[in-house]
Amino acid sequence: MGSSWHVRLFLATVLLGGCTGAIGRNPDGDGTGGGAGNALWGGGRSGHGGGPGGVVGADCKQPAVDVARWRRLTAVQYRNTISDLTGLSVDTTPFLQDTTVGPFAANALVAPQPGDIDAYQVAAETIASDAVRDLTKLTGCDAAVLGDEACAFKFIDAFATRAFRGPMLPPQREALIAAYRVGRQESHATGIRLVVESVLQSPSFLYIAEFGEPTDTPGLHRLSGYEVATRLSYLLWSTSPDAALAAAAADGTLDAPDGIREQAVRMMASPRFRKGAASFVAQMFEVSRLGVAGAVVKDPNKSPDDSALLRASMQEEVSRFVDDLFVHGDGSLRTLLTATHGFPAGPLLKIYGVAADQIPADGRYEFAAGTRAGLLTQAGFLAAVPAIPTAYTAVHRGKMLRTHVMCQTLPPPMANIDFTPPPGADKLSQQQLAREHQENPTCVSCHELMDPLGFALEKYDALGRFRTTDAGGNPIDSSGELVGLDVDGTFDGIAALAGKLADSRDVSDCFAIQWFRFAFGREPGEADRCGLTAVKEALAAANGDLREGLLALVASDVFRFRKMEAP
Amino acid sequence: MSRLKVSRRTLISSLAGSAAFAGLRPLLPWELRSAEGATPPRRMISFFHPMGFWEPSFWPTGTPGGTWQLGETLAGLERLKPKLIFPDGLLTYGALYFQKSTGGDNNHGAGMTLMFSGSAKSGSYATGPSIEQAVAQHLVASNPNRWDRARWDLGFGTGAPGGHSTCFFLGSGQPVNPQNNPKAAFDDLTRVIRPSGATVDETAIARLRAQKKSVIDAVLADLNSVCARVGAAEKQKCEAHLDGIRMLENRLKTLTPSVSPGCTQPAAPVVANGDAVATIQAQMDLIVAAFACDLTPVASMQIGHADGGVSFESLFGQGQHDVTHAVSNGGNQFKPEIAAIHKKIDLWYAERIGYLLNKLDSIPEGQGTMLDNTLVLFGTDTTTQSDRRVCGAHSIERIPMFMAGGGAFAFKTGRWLKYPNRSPSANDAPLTWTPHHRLLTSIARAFGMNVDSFGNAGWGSGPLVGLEG
Repeated sequence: MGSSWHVRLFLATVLLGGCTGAIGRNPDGDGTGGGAGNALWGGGRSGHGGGPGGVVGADCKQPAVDVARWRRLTAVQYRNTISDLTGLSVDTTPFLQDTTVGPFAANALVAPQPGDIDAYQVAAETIASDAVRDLTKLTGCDAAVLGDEACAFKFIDAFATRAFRGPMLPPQREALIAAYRVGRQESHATGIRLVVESVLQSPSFLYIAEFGEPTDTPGLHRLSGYEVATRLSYLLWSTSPDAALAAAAADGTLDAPDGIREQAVRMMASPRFRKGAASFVAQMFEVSRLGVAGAVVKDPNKSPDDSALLRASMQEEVSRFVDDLFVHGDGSLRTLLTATHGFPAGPLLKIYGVAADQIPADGRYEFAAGTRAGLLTQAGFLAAVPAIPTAYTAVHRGKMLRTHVMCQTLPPPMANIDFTPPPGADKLSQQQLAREHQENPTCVSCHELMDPLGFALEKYDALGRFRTTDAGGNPIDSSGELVGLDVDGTFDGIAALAGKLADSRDVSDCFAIQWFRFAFGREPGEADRCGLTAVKEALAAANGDLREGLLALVASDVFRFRKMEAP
Repeated sequence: MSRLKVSRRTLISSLAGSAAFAGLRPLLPWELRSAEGATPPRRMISFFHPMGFWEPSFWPTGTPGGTWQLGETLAGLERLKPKLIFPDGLLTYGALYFQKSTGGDNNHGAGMTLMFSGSAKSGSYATGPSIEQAVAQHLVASNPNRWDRARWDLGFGTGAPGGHSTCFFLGSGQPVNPQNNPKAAFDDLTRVIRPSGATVDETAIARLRAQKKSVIDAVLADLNSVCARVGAAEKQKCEAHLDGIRMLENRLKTLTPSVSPGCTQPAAPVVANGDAVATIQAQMDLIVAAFACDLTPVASMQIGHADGGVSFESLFGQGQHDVTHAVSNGGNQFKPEIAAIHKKIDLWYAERIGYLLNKLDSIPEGQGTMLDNTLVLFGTDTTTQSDRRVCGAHSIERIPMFMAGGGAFAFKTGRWLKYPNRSPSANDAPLTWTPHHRLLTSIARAFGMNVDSFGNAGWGSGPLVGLEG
């Protein structure tokens, strides 16, 4: 495995070398700074001087993992977790602004801003006062029968343990009891309310904080069962662990890879998994940005049908598509990338040119032959990319495929380049617009990687409508040549290109990397390579069944261990 | 908007009497702040907009230090001319260094990172704080209980933090993440306002304080348990979190009275998603309101990011980035029709700037106005030159940093100051230029920071001479 990693890395270096030599992670970054940091942390440092020869896990026999940062709950995770804990739904859009790793919300590096702390307070106070309206339901006990304090203590133990995703330490419990007693001077309900307020503002709730227990290898900790349960549930369900997971954490099941696998299999059979998987796909393909205020801008003159309702229905379609992929489908990235069906509904019907009465009862619609191929041709993706009105749609879409689906890095455009569309750009085809990129030697090394991929998607407009002539009236040529991948060659149309992507081991490996980012909120580093390689191999061996890749991920050392950062 | 002249006593009564308040609202109402009293603080705003200005229209004309007129772009600020300062000839030297030495980024990203921080860039971020954050930390350290918040960071279309989207930093590797949503900013600012007009109960207030305190204590207990055993990187988060909690705790104390009669309850912003003008104005209103009630001494306002942010396509038919490049067509052909669009975009920003400055200047304070007590620093990642050797776009030379206000404590205003900025050849030693670090140093000193340099000292130490007049 080790050697195949190096061969692949070498190939990638050669292939992208022409694109101004920027290899690997995006220097412009995603806000994590993880790329540069991880590169520095590679190899010998992991052992803290204790590793054999300084090369960590070269044979993948010793557990090795790079430093993981604590993550503050993302907006989606916060909402889902609050709903688990209290049954209440809360609107986080006004206050939680996520930061990202790759395309995924992670909140791993950026420290909380003062406004965040204030917002958590207000949210906690609002949620708490709502939650205590039905005190018996919230606390699970009747204070009149059990006595105020007995009921409160029972509630504190149950609620905080669940909210903190593990047992409390004595000072934490004592502080909650103290808050209860202050509130109790007014009423039992006020006491409970203060407990809820306190818990929901506590770092133990707001952060996925990990410590683990020391192992024989200095600097390497094994995560506790509760910490593993937390990683599992936010990876697969985008929410906090359920009772069965907590039980598995408590009884030691999650201390071994087999036990983790067993829980993961159970979790992937649950409807909640489809939510987690949909969240992954929607973020990986930028579709989730349609739901972020101001993140995707359309020119109202060119896309008059754009509306919040339409955007919501686009996101909904992607969710249903992913859900179906795991319930009725084979869960494979091939189906994800090449399926010829979709779930058009509501205002989307107009975009797809489908009449409501043509849609079967289960909502699954088979598109006319040759018009759609997988997620890349769903309106949600096509509307999200490009995210701004631009003449150069092919460049934007092509670049996104390179970075998100192939996990390749492209440098930012060089300074001092004239980006202006030529006169009469409205009338030009994408190929005509790209001529300069393709002829100028300075441009071509990067643009040959991007533009042709975008040509394949040119038969879809800014909202994802199928078309055969572009806005300038030119017949669309969606042929091109794929280079820089393991499935290079010419293609004609997105179905052919998507088929190639589905055949590609590089793309399959990229899904592994994206799951890694999604799972840990960081970029993989050199010390993670054994774990990551295992995921890549499992995904490939299972013909791209994403569930097998996930099972390999959760059973890997990367998932179970934590490298302690410098003090 | 109603002016608040509520005594502490009436405040307390309305507080206690409102059932709606009991569960929801922290203390520290605006109404706590009486209409007069304390001395206005020294305040600062850092203001970012992307990609600078079209040079020939931006800079003043006439004689620097003598008779001069505002440039076309800022002509609308004529009334405020006596309160402006244009230091002409600055170079974002660090950005030049960064670009040449590493090739790791273009001017956009480097200029973005270095404009307000003057520091080196590591990964996506600066290796030190930006000037207004450093000023905020300094002010709060010297007066820990005065403000509700050390600084307030708002924006429009800034994007998530990143190498091309962050210009403000709390410290090394710690980007500010500006609040882009004016409704959230409004809630943040006015959460202390509640229905008024009920009856009095000092005991209820004391009880409420005790309850808030108990929650904060419980949160701190958890914070201590969690943060006791962490490494350096997580410690940063812990400290930021702790700072936030301490600010909540400060609210439980009685704060100083407001400093200006402009302490009024702002109207809730009603802003359509993506409406740039309305959003930016709403954010500016909130900054001014926060100053008027002395909730914070420092604010930052970020419009867009180094590669764009405001959709000028729908306004003027072309995006800002495209326009800045096209105006000189790669340096070999001037295109007046594109320059015209560039100027329109510049005027659009100038209108936003004018709105903020006029608003600040409309509020009487001390011997002058709020603007006189507030130093506003305008910065940008890059700018468009008319005569550059390669291409006009995205230069970091003669960077249009300028200032407004602060006359009550900072610099002698109403001036256009020329600094050495000879046009360099390809191999020119950059130090023949005037590094913008010097301006940052001067600002730090104006706020009482005892420093010889700000940011990376190797890229220019000492203050910018002549600002004091």
